Amino acid sequence: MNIKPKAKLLILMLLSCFLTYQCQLDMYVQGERIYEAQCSNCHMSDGSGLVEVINDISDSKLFNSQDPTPLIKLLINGGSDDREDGLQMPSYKYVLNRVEICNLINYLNHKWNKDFVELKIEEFDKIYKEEVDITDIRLPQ
Amino acid sequence: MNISIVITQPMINKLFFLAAFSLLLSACNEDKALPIFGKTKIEGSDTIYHEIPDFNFMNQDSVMVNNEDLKDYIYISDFFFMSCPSICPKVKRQMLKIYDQFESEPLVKLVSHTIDPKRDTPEKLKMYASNLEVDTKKWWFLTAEKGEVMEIADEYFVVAYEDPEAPGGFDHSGKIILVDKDRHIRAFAEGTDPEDVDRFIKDIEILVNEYKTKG
Repeated sequence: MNIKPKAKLLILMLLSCFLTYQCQLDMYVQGERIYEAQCSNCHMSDGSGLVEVINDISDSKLFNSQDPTPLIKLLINGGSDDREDGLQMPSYKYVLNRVEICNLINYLNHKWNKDFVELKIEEFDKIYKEEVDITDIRLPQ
Repeated sequence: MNISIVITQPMINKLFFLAAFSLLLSACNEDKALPIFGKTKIEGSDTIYHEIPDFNFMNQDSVMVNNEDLKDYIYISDFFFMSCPSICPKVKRQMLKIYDQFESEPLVKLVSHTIDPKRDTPEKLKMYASNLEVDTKKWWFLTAEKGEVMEIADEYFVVAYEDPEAPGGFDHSGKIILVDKDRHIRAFAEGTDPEDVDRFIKDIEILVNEYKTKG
């Protein structure tokens, strides 16, 4: 087969565009799986929740790349227990390990936060270590 | 007078197709009556169908309610518990869809049973209903002794039992059940499957129409 150099270049460009697009679609796959397994039963796959029983998270202020601390704290410690009906969000401290929580946060922010900036694990760990006693043997590895 | 009609073979063919076609059409147009679920017994010349037995449960306002209060209604029932971390919220989402669909249809009520009466007190159930933003005159939230709830779940053919290994401490199915004025079960839906619930909503409409044409 004889392909002209210009055509070769064009094919390469198109291919790289396609691959970049595909990769963006599949970003934070583990985070998405964790969301489906751990969160979507209550918050629903589209984040819409259940009226006033379960929060609609699709417009949550907690999805903020500038200040990830409140979201990290919520996932580690669970929701506040001041709800009259007693239905607070559970703690995920002993359910998800630190990498999983970080991946979940990146998935959530990528999906719902317009000013998305990726949260690096080093940055996550700083906040995580302030909240969690990392010598606790019950923490998932 | 002697009238003779000559029937030819092509005419018969045409008539046959016309008849078959109109039969097909009528079969499509008419909503098929819903079945009655459960075992039937024959006693003499009567057929006894499975029916929801007498119950006497407490509602979200701490008022006792029973079958008599439902005798003029058809109702849609489910079993849940408030702190359920698994399928309940998704099923409730579908119950809410049914509620919205029949909000202005006075014949229809919704009846949710908690299978966790220890935690889901009438006060908590009332908060739950208010957070769902539904009218508790139309949608009841009932509680009873745990044994009684599990017993009545059996009668609705719903699996529900306490299991420390299950998420939230209870194992239960997400079935939604349609019951007619005579306490007969007429349709089921898988409450976690939105498409199945859409089909179920059509079944509710068939039953509503059945009562409306009866007058």
